Amino acid sequence: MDVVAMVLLVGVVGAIILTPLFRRSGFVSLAGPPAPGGQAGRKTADALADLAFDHATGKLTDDDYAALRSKVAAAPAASAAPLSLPAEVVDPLEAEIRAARRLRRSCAGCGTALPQAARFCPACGTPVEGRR
Amino acid sequence: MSRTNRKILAAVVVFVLAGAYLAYNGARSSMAYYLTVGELLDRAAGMRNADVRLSGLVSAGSIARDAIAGTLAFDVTDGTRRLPVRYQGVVPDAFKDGAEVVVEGRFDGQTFTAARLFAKCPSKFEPEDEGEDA
Amino acid sequence: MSEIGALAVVMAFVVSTYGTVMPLHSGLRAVYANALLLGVASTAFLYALLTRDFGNAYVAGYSSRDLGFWYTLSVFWAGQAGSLLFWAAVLAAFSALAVWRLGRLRELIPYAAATLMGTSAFFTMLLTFVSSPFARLPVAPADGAGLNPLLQNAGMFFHPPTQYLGFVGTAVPFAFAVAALVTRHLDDEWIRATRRWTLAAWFFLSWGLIFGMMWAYVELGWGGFWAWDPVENAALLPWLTATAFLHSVMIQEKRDLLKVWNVVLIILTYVLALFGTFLTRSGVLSSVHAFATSSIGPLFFLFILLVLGMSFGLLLTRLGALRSQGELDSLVSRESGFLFNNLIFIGAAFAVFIGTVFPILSEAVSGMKISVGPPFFNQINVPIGLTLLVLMGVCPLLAWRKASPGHLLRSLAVPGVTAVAGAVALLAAGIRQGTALAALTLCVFVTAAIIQDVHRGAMVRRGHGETYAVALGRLVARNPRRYGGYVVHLGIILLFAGMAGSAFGTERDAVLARGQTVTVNQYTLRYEGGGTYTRGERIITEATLTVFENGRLLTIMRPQRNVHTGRDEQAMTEVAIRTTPREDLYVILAGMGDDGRVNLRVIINPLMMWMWIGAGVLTLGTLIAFWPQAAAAAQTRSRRLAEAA
Repeated sequence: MDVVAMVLLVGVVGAIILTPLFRRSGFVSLAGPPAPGGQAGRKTADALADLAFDHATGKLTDDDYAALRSKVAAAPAASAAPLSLPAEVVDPLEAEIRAARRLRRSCAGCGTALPQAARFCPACGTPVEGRR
Repeated sequence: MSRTNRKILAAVVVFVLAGAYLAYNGARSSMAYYLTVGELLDRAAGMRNADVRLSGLVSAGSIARDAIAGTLAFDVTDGTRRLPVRYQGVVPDAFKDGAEVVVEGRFDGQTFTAARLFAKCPSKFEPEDEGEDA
Repeated sequence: MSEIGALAVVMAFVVSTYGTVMPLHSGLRAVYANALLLGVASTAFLYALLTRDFGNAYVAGYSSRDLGFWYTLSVFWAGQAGSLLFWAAVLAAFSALAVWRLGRLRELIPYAAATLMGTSAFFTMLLTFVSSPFARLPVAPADGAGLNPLLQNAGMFFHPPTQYLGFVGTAVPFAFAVAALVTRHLDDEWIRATRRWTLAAWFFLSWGLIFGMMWAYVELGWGGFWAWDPVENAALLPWLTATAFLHSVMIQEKRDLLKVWNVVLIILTYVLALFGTFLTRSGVLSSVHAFATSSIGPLFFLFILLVLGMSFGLLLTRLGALRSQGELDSLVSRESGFLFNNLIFIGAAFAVFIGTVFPILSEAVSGMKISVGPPFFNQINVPIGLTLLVLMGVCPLLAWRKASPGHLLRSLAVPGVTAVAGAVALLAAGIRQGTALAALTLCVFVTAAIIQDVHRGAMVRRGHGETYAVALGRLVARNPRRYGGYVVHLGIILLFAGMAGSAFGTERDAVLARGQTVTVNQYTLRYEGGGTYTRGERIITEATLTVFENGRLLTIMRPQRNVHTGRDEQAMTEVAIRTTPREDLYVILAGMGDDGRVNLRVIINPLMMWMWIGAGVLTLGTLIAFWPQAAAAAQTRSRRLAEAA
């Protein structure tokens, strides 16, 4: 009886743990859906609401309130959640972008500075050599 | 460093200094050597007027209690050596032969006079019990 | 049945290890398998307990045939192997629950699960190789040794499991913090996701402490509820850092500040929870000999060092990314209030920790063990407690970012005046003791400040055309965390008030012959007589006392001093307590002589009842804080208030 129970236990646990390994999608996808873009907006709205509440409950003078309010509304979305992609994916992309930005090219035909992704010069229409 | 940060740092420093002072004061007023029976007997001469916390086991058969006078006498031992203890006050429940005890008080070379008595049950992981002199 | 249990434990160890190193889908399944296995092991263990399987060494060592059902249950956590199994089982259950509920955090979950499984691997390793709850005796005895009578009471039934739920609960936010660090998802996602876990763990840590105090007061019977004992301190330390963490994360959520603080705080909380578990197992502080006899001490110590080292190492590598972009706008703001709050709690934790490990430190430094006593802890923590009271009152009145000083002072006016009135009333009531007076006055101050802030909030809503009652209700429903927090603070205030009472109590010893009396304050106790009788296994020595208050007959009290016969003789004091809102009359029967005279200790403990009421209020506040925010309405409120301003 005991032996049966033990074998059963081992079998059940083995099944629970090992079945995902035999399925196609055995891995947890590491790049999940990106965070909703409204994060930054929500935080700012919340911050403004907090300020309004503080003002309404008598913690701030009208002037202080106005000053803080414009400060919050103007703050860049630096406090927004970063991209919900793991660093291993984002970092090389960022590196590429930075590298690409560093390259500045001029048109072979007219000498105008060329925008990065240009394949034809915007000034004279000459096709651009090199990277796609 | 911005003005705000400097003010905060100043406040923090004040807090820490105040805390350190309180800690030092508190430590000084309650510091006591924590010794086993053997250690105390070895250093008896130097410990004459020092506050000591003595730990050991209650020697089996050495307990003498006067329930009315509230006095308690017993020997505390570390397994090989022993010394006598006198205590006055409420005796904790865990106190009995073989119990682990910690007594706080002074040793005059002969007897240990305890102001406080803590007892723990002989087996591990059981609650500690405390008794105090008035 | 025992073999199944033992097998389940070994398998749990294997599965936990697997789950630690395989953070893929199979690894997550391991979390569930682990929970299943430890569930099986716990069931097998309970079966052994309830069927009195004395072939099991643990069952034989801690229970007996005549032990009642509930106490037999409590044997589960009475000894080392059983309590380790309990810890592991709770951890397994929490891990499974966390993975199930938080599985949507696809990037964090693998590493969080791995962290939880790593801990589980350690505990199941101990259970398999060091301290097995299923070890058999070569010959099964006819009856077990029985449970120490000191443990046969409600306190010992509730206190350990609650404490463990608290300790283990801190593992989940910790695991997600580690995951956040590893994956560099250093925003507040992990905090928001584990908020309820943190709250629940904090709640159980609080009740672990409260049960402990209740038990010490009522059962251990020496007149007090806290002695700064190393084991007590071990439970207090994670509570202190958890409270700081609970507050500090709000700042990260709102302002993206204090990120490094938050990671440090959760690491400390978890490590201190492990440390607390370690302290109560290994006896390292009371005696070095006990520490060395079982290998559990050194193993635990190594594990704690490993966790500490790896967490802080990981933190150091992410330090740059964690540094906040913003900074504090002003010294006088809610943010800086929270920062001070962090500092104070850390300071208290540091002081308690140092005081607790002082003997070990001093031995390392000077070769002699030196310990510090309650005066050390009280000297540090009483001012800290008072400072916390001040913060509790002032912080809600501070605005975010930068408070207007003039308005702040205006906000403090009413609470301040109320506090002064309170102080006058206290003095009139005869309370002169400095610390108690300060603490109680501050309690009045904080209560007034909280009521004022809630009232103002309700009034703002009333401006939108709601009745006061509806306004109040909606106010709380829109922000249950904040107002639940206020209620918790009210609970803490009552607890502090109860503690303040112990600063001006009275104590008197007396030896009485029959008919003699002792007078303490307004009470007169007359010893009517006493005797000894047997009830079952207990020899009960009881004294009957008639109590008069200002001459008027009040009640009869019967303190006892019992002896449990059985394998060992065990003394048990049953104190007699009479509780009123104003004070507790507490009588200890220290001894009864052969001539029938009794040695009594009579203690007056002012305000004790408020501590237990405070515990209830704290529970209510936690429940409110747990409540989900009325979501859609919150958006409307945000929008409406932003537009109106």
